[in-house]
Amino acid sequence: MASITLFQNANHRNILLEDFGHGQAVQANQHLIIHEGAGMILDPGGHKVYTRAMSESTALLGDGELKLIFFSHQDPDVLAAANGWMMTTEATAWISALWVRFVPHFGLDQLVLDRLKAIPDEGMRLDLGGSELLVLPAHFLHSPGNFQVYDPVSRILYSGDLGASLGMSYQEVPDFKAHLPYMEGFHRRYMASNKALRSWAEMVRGLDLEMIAPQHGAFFRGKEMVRQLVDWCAELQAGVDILPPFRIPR
Amino acid sequence: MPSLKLYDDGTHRNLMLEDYGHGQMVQANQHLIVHDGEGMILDPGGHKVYNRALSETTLLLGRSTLKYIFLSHQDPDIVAAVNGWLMTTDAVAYASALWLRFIPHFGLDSLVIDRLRPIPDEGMHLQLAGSDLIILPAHFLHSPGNFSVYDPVSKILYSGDLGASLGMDYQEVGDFAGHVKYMEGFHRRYLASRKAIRAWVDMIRTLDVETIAPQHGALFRGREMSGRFLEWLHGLECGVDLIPERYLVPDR
Repeated sequence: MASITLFQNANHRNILLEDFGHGQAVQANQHLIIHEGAGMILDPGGHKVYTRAMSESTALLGDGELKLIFFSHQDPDVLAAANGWMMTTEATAWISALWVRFVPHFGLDQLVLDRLKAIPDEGMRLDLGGSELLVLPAHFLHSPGNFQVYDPVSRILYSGDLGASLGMSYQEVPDFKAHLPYMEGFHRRYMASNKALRSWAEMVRGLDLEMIAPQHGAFFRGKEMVRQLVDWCAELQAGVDILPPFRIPR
Repeated sequence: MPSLKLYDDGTHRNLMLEDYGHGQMVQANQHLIVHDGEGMILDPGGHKVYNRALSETTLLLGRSTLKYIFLSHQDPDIVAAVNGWLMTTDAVAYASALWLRFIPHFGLDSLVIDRLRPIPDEGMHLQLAGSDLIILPAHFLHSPGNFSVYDPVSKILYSGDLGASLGMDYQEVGDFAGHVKYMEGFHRRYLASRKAIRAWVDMIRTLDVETIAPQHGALFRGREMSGRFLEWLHGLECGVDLIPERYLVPDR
């Protein structure tokens, strides 16, 4: 599948990069936001997609430059290739303050370590070529230090693991109810609790959303589809809500 | 600091590897269990400690062979160098079934990928040359797919991030009350909820535990000290217990 432009106007473009395949690794989406020649890559991924994701990003940026690298959390599928991205660009990388001292275990080069920056627990706003991006708290969904990005220009919410789906062949959700089997098991097991899901839903209901684009699987386009996903998350029992007592294994 | 011997009865040894320093990284402990010719490394760590941890392990193993690599969860400080460990040994690596398809993003070689095996949610037993090791569920503490290891011979509980401490310079907790400040912030912020904590403490209290050895910082030695830690943990509010009813859009 080729790269898909999710939004475009005269100076702003949102692109879902081509799916570079995954073999035994879980499928993951890489997203690129470009504003006035300044680029941000979201959850660039691991070693197996690095070379192709990098060259595709470079081609899409053209005369522009990668300014920001966003890591939603600390998992391998998000940041295993962090050092490569930081060594070959001048971009500043942002990750939860909880993970700043964990990421260097990947072997971040001394040269780039000072370009790895901490996102405070309450989130923050980042400037991309004059366009503002909101980095929103989404802790315990699933990671203890977890963030999403809202782009007010395209009205896309990059939701990381929330809304992630596995196993279907489409890139855009056509029918919300029929899509549930591809995401329900993951959300029930990986998300920490309904309280965290509800806290997130309350926040995003206050935003003007046209699309929710997760890090795995298909995206949700249009206000009605977005509303259905947010409502479903707000009601879901997950993680510690449905955790059985721990027992010594037999 | 040299490697620390936590237990040794001639056929069974529990060793904590030398701390190789960490620079801007969080300090992490590597533990080795050796029983009658076979070894297990626990949470071997990332690239920066890989060479020294591997050579120290090889030295400590002597004629024994590394049979298992245990990965308590999916974080970089645990799994970043797993490809190297799998490529240079014949060991089998175990990680939560939840992370099996995530870890290959590190670039696991196809030669070794069939030696990465899933731990089911309920945990399991592993045999190290006939000695039983119990892999215990510890989900959401902090990772959604997370395990501890209990060794019934040494009575050591390898607790992963539970009991982790940062910022002090001792390897063994001497004064529990004085130690709380080095672990409290981490536990409140990273662990998902008191419900998960209590499920874990209730399970652990059915075991005969002499030592609790976390993946970061100092260990708790003796029934008294281990018991004080479990009691403290049982009363802790953390994670989603402390989050607001509504996350706020940042105003700056």
